[in-house]
Amino acid sequence: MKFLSFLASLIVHAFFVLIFLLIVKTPTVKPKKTPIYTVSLIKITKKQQKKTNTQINKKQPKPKPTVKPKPKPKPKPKPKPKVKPKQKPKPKPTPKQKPKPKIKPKPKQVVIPKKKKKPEIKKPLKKAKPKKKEKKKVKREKRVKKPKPKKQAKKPNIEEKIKLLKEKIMLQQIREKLLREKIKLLREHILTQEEAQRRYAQKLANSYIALIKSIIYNHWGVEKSIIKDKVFIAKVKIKLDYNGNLVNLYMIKSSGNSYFDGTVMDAIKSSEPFPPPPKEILTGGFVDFIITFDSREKQ
Amino acid sequence: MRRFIVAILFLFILSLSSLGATYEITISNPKYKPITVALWGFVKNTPEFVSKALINTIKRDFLISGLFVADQSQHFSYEAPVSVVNGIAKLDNIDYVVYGNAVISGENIYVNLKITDALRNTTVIDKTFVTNRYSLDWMADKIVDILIGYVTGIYGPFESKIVFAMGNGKTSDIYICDFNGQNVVRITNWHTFNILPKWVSTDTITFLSYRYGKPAVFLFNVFSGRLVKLFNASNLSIAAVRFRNKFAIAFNRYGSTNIYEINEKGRVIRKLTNDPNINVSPSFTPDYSKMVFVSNREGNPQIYIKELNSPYEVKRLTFQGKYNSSPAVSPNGKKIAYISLEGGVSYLKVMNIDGTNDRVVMQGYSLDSPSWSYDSRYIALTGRVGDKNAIFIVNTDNGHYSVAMETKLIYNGLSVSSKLQ
Repeated sequence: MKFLSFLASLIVHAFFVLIFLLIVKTPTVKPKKTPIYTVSLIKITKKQQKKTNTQINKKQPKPKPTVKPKPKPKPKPKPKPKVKPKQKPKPKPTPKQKPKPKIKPKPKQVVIPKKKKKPEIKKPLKKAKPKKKEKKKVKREKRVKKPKPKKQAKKPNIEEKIKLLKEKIMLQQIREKLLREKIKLLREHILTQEEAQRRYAQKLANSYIALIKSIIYNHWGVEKSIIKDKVFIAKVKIKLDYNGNLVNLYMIKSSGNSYFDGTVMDAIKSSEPFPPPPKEILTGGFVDFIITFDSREKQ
Repeated sequence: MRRFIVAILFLFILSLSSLGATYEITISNPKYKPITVALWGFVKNTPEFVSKALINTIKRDFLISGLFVADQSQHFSYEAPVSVVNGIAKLDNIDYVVYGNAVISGENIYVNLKITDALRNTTVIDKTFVTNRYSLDWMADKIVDILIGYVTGIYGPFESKIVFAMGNGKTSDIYICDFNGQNVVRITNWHTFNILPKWVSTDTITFLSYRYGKPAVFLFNVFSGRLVKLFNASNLSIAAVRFRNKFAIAFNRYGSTNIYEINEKGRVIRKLTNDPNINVSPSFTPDYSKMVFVSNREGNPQIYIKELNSPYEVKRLTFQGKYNSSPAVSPNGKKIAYISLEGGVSYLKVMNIDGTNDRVVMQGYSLDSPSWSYDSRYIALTGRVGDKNAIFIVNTDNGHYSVAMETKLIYNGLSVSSKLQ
């Protein structure tokens, strides 16, 4: 019985662990999107502050202070454990951000967009050169000019996306919390169910014990002059099968009087077969009882 | 290797399955149930006179013991298998079975005996005894004693003899019978007054006789018939009891009656009591360290106990009733039986050696001379209960009593021997 319940609990636990793992995996997928924007934003903000950011700053004065100090401390405690393993290889190219360890997730994003950024960085350099030199370069400028407006449009989006991502992270964290609580509740529920089952089994056992006790007592008789002032106590162990058949009977402790011991053994044998025990108290189809026979009157 | 692992796993699973809960139950205060003994033997393959002697005596002993109810619904010879007999006994709600047979060979009778425990389906005894036609009753007594010993843990009392005095008021003689009252033999036929017999060893009794006119205490060997005058310096009705390897006698001297130690030649060794009143009926603990006796030193006859070693302290044991007499210390030295008279009714009472746990065991008229059996469980005494003037055997454990021998004559003393061979 215990073994079965143990197995059941194992399965339930494994189920929840799987759920938990699935939940944990899902947030790891999302951060892949984040690095694309967050890192570029940081780089852009630092580098473009000199030239282009003035317009953006005018339009959106708030993000500047928020990007650097504010977002960094917030994600620090929560995303760290989850994002770190993926971002470790990426922080190399962004040594500038080292003092801001909390933004580690952002450097990841830096690595991927490099291809896009390189042209971005070159563009301004090239822009100045082609105007004086070759037509091919002009073509390139044209090509470069096209993304410029895109970048300008992206900048606010990225900040929003960062916010969104942060919110998403927060949501994920909340979800995690909720899931943990749910798991806790489920565990407690399982425990209470087990306890209830145990109590139920105990109740059944008690009623069954009372039943076989009365049956055995009705078959137990002693010539009391043999007892007289003496105290005889004999202990017997019996094993019953699921049908109530007496499978095993042996004396654990003799009273020291063969007659008294005999009456005890006879009382049990005469009581056979016993009523079938409830399934809840069976273990492997059997149930054991240790019966103490006391010659004294119950106090 | 795989097999080994599989075996270990199997054992592990098996051990897990065997770790089930064990529930504990306590049952107390059993109901009363008499012990039913099947007397299912000594009919088949047994001569009729042997069968009669054995069965009648066993049944009689069962009755006197106050422990067993006999059943004679079946008959089995010695060859019957124990398992079969026990199986049938179980169906008949029998607790123990006595069966077997007896074979005569010349002067000897071979008694093949089996006693089985149907409660536990075991054999108590499986033995062949050799006896003769005159000792068949004794053989039966032995069988019952074995059974009592098995059931109670204390060997039965039937291998002993009762000596008693019985007469018509003018004459009284000494008789000996078995503990169950059978086989009565008169050992004096002197047409005089012979009273107060006491066993002082396994083959010798003392009694008071007026055979030579003046009362005298005699020693009598019941097997050899040798009679010796022990003491005649008293005009009281006195009895002599064993005290170590000598005797204790109460007699009148210098105006008071005290208990004295005397030797086999009747010479006084020392005073065991020293009181100006009447001190009689000595009875000793088995180690002779204490003497229980009757004294009227405080007005009425009461039971006292005296330390026979320093500091020789005397302590009164009885405080209920105005007339308590005839104390008898049990052979195990733990209990005292005595007779208490109250309002014309006499009671057989038993108390612990220190006077505690004083209780009435039997009630009647003219109850006298209580004497313990060697198992310290039964008391034989004379008296009248209802319309029966008899020697009664009382089981002090349950108060059950039965008649060992009934007569219309008057009893003048009784004593039970120790276990005899």
